[in-house]
Amino acid sequence: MVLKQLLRVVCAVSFSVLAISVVSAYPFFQNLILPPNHLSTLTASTSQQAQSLLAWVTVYKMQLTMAMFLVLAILTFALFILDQEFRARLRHKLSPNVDHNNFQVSDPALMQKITLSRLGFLVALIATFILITITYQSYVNQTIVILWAISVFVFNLTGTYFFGSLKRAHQMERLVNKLHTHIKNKDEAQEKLLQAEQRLKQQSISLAYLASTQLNKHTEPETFYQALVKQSAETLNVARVSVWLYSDDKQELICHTLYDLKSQRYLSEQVLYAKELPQYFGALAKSRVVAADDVYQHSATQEFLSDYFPSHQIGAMLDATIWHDDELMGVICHEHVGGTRAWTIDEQNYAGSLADLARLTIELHRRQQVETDLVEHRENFEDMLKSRTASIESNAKLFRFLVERAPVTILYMNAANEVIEMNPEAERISGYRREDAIGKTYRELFVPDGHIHDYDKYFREVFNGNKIQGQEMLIRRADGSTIELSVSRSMELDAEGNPVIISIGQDISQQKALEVSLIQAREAAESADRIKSMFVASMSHELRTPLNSIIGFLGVVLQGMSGELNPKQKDQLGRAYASSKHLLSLISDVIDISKIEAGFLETHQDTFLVKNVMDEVANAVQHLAVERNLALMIECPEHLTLNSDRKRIYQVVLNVVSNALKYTETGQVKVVLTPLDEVLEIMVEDTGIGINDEGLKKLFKPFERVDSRLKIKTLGTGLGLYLTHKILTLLLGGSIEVKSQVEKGSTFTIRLPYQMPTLEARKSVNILEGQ
Amino acid sequence: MKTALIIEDNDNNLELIRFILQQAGYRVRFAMTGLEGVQQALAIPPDFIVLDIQLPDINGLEVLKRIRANAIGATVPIIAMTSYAMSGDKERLLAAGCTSYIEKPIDPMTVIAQIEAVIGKDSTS
Repeated sequence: MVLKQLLRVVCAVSFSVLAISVVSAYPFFQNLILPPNHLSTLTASTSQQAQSLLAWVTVYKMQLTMAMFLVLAILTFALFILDQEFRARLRHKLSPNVDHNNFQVSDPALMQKITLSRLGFLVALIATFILITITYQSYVNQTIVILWAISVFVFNLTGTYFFGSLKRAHQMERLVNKLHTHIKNKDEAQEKLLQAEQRLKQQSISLAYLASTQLNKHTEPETFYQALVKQSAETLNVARVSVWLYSDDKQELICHTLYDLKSQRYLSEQVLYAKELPQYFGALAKSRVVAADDVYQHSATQEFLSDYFPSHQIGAMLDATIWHDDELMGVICHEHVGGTRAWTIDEQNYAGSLADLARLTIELHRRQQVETDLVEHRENFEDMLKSRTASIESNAKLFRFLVERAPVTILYMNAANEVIEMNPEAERISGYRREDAIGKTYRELFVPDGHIHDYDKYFREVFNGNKIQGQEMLIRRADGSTIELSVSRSMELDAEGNPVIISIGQDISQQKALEVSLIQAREAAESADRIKSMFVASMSHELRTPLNSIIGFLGVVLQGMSGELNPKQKDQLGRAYASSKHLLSLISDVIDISKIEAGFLETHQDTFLVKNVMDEVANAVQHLAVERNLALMIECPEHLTLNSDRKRIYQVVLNVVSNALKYTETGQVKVVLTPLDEVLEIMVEDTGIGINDEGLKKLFKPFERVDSRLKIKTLGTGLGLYLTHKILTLLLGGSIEVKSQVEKGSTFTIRLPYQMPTLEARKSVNILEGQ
Repeated sequence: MKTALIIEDNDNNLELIRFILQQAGYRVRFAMTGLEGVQQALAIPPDFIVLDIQLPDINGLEVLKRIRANAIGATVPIIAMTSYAMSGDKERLLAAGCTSYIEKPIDPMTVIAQIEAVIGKDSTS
């Protein structure tokens, strides 16, 4: 810059010097070269002047002229450079933002002018050069040339400025052009911007609408999805929009709703399976938005190419996935029908926003369900609480009723033995009033003198967690008297966790009295039994004693010990003897039966061989069998033993066998003993007259004689089988049963346990039998 | 001739057994109470005693024990007579020292045989 400034100064100085030198040389030119008259003709014709000037040029002055011209040319060139520089600066000042190096003039008219201007300048310069060369012969011409040169210089200078202004205009024009282009571009951009804005506006309106729909509590998810797909289809102008949700196992995508823009209808459900479309499912799981501008090119949509896309003429697809936390819930699918479609960012964002709304709906729905559940739970809980409270209240009522009405004394005491509560029965028994008793210790209220120690002991036990049950305790009453209670105590914890001793007492004075009377009654009963027993025993003696002498003396007289009897006396005394014998056996049987029934018949138990007893029976009845000409067969195992009452078994078997013999006319009586697992079976089988059904019914009843055509002469008491039955069932723990066919025979079966039951067992059986 | 002591409170029965024994050739003494029986048995020991068990003062069992408790009466045969025809009575009597046992009512035809089975046939008569 300094150099340029310096150059400018040098130029200016040179110009000044040149101008001064030319001006100072003018008089010289005027006086020596150019006559004044020639000056007036100068303006008339340039060519004439040039002609005349040329005439003034001399050869010796040519060199100086040339030198001057050279200097002039150099200066002009320098000025030109300066001018360029100046213009550049000017341009820069005018429009600093324009790139001037590549500046092009676009207007051809202006370009023509500029070219003309430049040409004129060049022509003028050349003309000047020629004129100087030709006319530099006279001073006048010289002067004219110098003036011309000056005018050319001035012209050039003004031309330069003129050119500069042209340039500026040109620059302006170019700027304007540029500006114009800019503005045009800007307008276009603005237009696009407006469109985008419009879209965004629509999108945001639809989103706002959907959001408001969603916030309506009564909107079901399905309704919302329908609104969503319709809004989306209309907003994005997409032919088919659908909402798909995953099944729980993520293996299926179920179409919840699909809106067809053209038909404005919701279409039926479809299901996609993950195993059939692994690529598509995989793509969904990876991204928030799958934007397939051209479904035939996009990797995610290849699986649909064969069938689905062609059938619906789908060219582009925009899928927005619905995520909840990290869980993929579903997808909103936009299917563009007819060719490809470049999904804009805002459209993708819109789709993403729809997915967010869908997610919110799912969340909202879930939350609503949870809330509903919660409300339900709370209601249930409240109901439960109500019923619980009611039941607690009714329980409390019942409890109060129990405590107040219970015919036992109830006391609550705290850890300090102080009475907290007592019931009316406790008031009644103790004679203390509840108001007076509460707050006083149990010890000072209820413990009689001399029982403190016992009381303390029981109290400690209760405190140690032991329960006292039915402990008989002496209690002091308000009037100082004592009463015996049966007391149960235990320690429980109340709601606050404090120990409460609950003492329940029952007045046992009546019970005691009852016990005493019971004991007395029992003693009386026992003595009555003893009296009965003694009565039976003495009856046995008293009845038999006179019979003893009757039978004895009758026997003595009948034997002829007191002198001979005539046959008639013998017959009559014989009858008396038989009758007295009968009476004796009757008495014996009656006494036996009464003793058995009273449980006083003594038994004598030992182990014996059954065979021996059977032999004795055989001996006893042998004469009867012989007398009646009957066969008596006894089958008995040799070493069979019983632990029982030998005499009673003998009595029983004898009775049955002799009966069999008595009621059999011809044939045999067979006795078979069979040892079974639990019992010994004695079967007495006869070929006798048998017993009919009526007879069987009263066979074991007392004093019942079975009618039969046989007039049995043998004396019987009518108690034989009755007693046998009693002995067997009540004494020996056995049984007897009979089967019979009239005119064919009877079979009596006796069953005896190997071990006779104990006295206690028999007594219980007796009681049962008695009932 | 053997002497029998009959201890029996019932005079009919006493007369019956006395008659039968006398008929059979025995000398007969008798007592009608237990205590008297014991006294007689120990004062002049008989050859055998026929003892009724049911007696008014002390029962036959007691009589039996007292006689047996004395050295004089330790070996004399005692035949008990009782209508206690119950099991156990016989065992009790035998345990107390009774030699034999006859059930009442006595059979005039067999009673002598029963007695002689115990004391042996009177060879002196």
